[in-house]
Amino acid sequence: MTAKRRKKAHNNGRAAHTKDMIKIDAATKAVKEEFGDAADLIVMRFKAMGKECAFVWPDGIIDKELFELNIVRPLKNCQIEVKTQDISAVLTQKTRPTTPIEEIDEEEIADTVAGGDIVLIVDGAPSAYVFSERKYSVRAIAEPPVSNVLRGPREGFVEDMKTNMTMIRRRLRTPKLRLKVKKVGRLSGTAVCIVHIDGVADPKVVAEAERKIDSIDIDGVVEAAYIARRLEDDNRSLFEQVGSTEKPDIAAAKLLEGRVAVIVDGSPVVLTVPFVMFEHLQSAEDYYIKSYRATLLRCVRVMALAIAIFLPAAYVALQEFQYQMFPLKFLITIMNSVYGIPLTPTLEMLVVLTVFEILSEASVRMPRYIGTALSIVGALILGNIAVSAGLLSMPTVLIISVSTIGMYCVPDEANTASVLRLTFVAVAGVMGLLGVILGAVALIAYLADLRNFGTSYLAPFAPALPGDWKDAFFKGSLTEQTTRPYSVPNVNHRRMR
Amino acid sequence: MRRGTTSTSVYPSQLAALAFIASVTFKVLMLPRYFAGECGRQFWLAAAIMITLDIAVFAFVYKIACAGGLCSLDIPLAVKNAALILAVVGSAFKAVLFCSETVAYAATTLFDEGLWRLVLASLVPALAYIAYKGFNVIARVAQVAVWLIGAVVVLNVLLADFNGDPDAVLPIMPDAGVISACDKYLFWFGDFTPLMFCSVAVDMRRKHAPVLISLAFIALFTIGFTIALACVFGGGTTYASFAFAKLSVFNKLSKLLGALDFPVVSAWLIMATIKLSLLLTAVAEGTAHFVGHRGAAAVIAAVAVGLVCKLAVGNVGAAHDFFTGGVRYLAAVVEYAVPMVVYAAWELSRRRRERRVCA
Amino acid sequence: MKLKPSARKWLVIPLLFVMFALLGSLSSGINLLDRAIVVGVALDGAPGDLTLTAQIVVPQNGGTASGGDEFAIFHSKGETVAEAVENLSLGSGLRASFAHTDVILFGTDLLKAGPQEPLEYIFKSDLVRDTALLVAVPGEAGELLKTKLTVGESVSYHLLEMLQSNRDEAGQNPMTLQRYYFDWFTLGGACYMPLVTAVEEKDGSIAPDATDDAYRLELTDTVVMTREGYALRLDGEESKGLSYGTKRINSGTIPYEDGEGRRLDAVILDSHPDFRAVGEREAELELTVMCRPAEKPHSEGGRQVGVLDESAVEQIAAAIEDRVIACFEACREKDCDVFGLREVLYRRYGARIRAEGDGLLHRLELTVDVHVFTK
Repeated sequence: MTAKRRKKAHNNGRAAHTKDMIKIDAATKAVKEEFGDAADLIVMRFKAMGKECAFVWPDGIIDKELFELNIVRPLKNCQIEVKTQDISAVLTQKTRPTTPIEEIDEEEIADTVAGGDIVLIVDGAPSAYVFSERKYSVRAIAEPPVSNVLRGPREGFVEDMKTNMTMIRRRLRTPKLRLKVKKVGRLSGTAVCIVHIDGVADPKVVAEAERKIDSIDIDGVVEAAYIARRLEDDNRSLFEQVGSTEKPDIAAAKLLEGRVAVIVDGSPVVLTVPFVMFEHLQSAEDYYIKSYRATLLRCVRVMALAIAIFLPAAYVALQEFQYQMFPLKFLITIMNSVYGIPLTPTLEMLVVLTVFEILSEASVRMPRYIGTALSIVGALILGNIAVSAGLLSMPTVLIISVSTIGMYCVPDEANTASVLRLTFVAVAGVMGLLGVILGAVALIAYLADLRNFGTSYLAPFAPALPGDWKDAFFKGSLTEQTTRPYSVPNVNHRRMR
Repeated sequence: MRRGTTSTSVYPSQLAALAFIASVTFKVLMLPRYFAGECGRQFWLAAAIMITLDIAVFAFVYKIACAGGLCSLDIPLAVKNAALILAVVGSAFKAVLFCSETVAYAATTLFDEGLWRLVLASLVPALAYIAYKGFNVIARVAQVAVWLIGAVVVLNVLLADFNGDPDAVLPIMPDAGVISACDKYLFWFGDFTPLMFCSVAVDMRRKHAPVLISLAFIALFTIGFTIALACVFGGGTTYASFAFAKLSVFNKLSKLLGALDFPVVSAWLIMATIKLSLLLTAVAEGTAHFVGHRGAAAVIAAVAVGLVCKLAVGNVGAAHDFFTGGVRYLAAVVEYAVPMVVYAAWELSRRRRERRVCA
Repeated sequence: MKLKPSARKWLVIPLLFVMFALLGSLSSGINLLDRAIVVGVALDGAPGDLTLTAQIVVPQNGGTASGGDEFAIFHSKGETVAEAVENLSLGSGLRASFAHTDVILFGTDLLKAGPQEPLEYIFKSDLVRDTALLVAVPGEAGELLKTKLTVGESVSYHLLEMLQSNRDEAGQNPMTLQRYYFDWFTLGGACYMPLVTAVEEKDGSIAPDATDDAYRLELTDTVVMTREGYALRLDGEESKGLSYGTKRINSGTIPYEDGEGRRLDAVILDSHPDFRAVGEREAELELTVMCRPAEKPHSEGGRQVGVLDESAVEQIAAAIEDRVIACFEACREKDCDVFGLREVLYRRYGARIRAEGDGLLHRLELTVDVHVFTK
């Protein structure tokens, strides 16, 4: 029950005799008009407690069995005359709902029904009564497609906010876990839950997150990304400034570090703030395996990302301008392979990049049944036919392949890396190695200036926070993680004794 | 923060990184060749003398940074304005010289020679953008870059395959040639003036270790590099246009893979970008103090430097002649005298304030 | 028209297009295939009338970097190296690039006439890497570059391999551009470079597609030069002496005779020269040599064979000393301070050595002290 409704329920008890009574005919008619005679709006009229009553609910969202057994049947069996002021008490006594009964005004009936609750309208009563018995089909908990691990939990968030809240609660069984629900979206009324651990998260960060969510004035929120863009300080940036995860163990770990999580109803993606870029290079599995292996994997990911972004550009730059940096035998091999290719190196690279992007997008969108056949065609076209026909060169295809594979070593950065590598190829084609380096330095400068929730985007490297380096490139053992990261504002640094 | 300015707050480790990059970058390009032309194989001695002087002056610059930076110092306005103007002019001149050297290097080594316009046109917007971001951001960039630079230096030292003669540094005799080289190439030293604009974060003003380590590295690297050059090229250093590029080709993997100067060139270009941005930021910061609008100041700085570079770039020899002329003494005043004067003014003001408080 | 902040970001895209277009127009746009990658270059002629011969990579569709048929030879002439390079670009229709040139051959005619300008141009201009090897060729260097070798490789490749793989062998004196100028600027100013000759292979070639008139390369002699140019040619033994005095050697053999007059060989494992100034007119070369007998120790007819006794050690030491002295004397005759003895004295005694001038070389005494250690 929201605080607003609680207050209303309390006041209604006192001021019942001064309020207008609800007329059942007018009220049901108003609800039907509000819903435009929607096919899924059910209005069931009956007599109980000596009065005309009507249940109004949206079809398909409630637990019909519970509703019938615990609410409808006991109520219908109550045929004694009940005074208006005793209706609330009788309902509480006679029915067996799983959540407390709320009282609302006549104006709120339509919104409450649209929210998925059952409203009981009693003729002549001062309020309508809300029974919350929601039950709808939710996707089964499964491993998220982009957060695969060889070792570790395989649960993933689902679209139902309550289920997600439960998954976090199961991992953080402390009364200090705060879950505050807000409604966002004038038409969607999407529930957004702000989660943090009291005594760990910085209250300023929590307040800032709440303020930003409260300031959202939008018609509807259908996915967490809508909220994410509003949480970012610079939402025009190519770089994401809000973390996201589909795994409850990761969300719990981030909460323990002092972050604030935002669960959005209808989205399996849970947002976390503040966010630093290095988070994308961390994987949940790093914390479940030996630190040496985790260190190696992190270095591999960093290298893979760097290769993904810079290798195509470097190849173009060296071929167009700084060919003298190629070793001679490699240079001869490249010259032999580009002999007869009609495109310039830059154009060739851009063409191959574009084709790879098309393949990548098509592989996500295409129906499963023709996926295999089309993949083979795509591979054949690029890998064999185009090269044999002399339209593309082998090294270019190889480099883009390596770059693309490297990109998906860090799937969270794949979208950004994809745009960046295209940009750097264009820069390299015009300005060579100098352009790539100037671009890289300008990019680092841009990232160094990016901040969100008081945290620097490149922390813990810029500014250098040596205390956090045991969970950076080099993954220290879990027994060494005695403090919370300094790059995340928190009020209690001690984690382990 | 004043209108038109950005954050100048830096950590000691960032200041240390900036100091290293600011000092070392353009001492490994054309300067060794100039030195060698003046005093033969003893050029490493000249470098050692000048770097010692620089490190001594850095103490004053560091004190100013710990006191809050030049723009925020509580000193007489006349002194502050004069120091700002001199710092801006000095940094602008340095930016012109080093920009022209960078363009000369990039145009001759990385591109076909006629493409210096392309190099200049690529460099100026990038530098303007980074300068616009301010000292805090440049310091962070330096902090990130220093890892790459360190890795490249370590790799080159480990894989070095010099066919050098260690006795080439003998005889060690600081003769008149050494002193005249120090005098003639004053302009290439004293690179810490832009750091006067930085302000060390309040809670870190007692952490001196990173700065001390950086100074040690500056001395070690500069002297070590020049000694290595003397051992490898000897008197032939006078023909070595771009010293670091010349030295970097000597590595154990070059016989296997061809000259592996790719990492060294990349690292140096990053250092040059940071150094030039630092100079432009100093110009922009100082200009913004008077003009009041940061963006305008950054554009003015970049355009002014770019225009002058256009004149200087076509003829590095002309730039060399100009900066080894009388203007080098102006640079000496800016680089060596201004920090000392500003520090003295601040110290006097501080004592006067303390006396007033006690009274 | 004032744009909203949200719309302003999209201005970046047309701005980027304009910037790229402008910058692109500044580029030379020379394709990699329009460049002549020179792997070996030969210089002949005389100052003012230079002939430049370049071995250039010819790309082929599906070709490999094996170093066989994928090369072409181009000639050009010019008064200076710069002009010859320009004419090479014009003549071949490709922009010449010397960034991968590993071998530079000089005809002895040019070396005698005066190679300062070409060498100085090459060293100063960053055209060629300082690790490039300088080689002298008797007669026309350009002709050698065109030679077909028995191994089927190009001359540049093969020469490079020979010089790199045998660089620690006595008698091989590879000289890089960097080392050349290092020596040029020392007090003596004497430099050297190996001399390569092409010898006709009469016993049939080993390359599958080579014809009978294939050649092999020999690197036994060395050319010594002063700052002005060619001074003398050292023969095989003198070249070995030069090697002993200038570098560490860990390959090669020295003959000696055993007690029964049989000629045996000792293999050099390591040698280390150390020049010292003993007085203002005297220098000493302390040479430490570690060697072992070529044959493994064994018994033969009741005698121990494959062991280096005192007599063998003395012979080895004497052989090395003779070679070094022979080299020194031959060079001194031509005023070449090939071991840099004046430089050694200068490093010890300072400016007064410089003041003595070039005549000091003839007043110098060199003592060679060879310590042979056996393994």
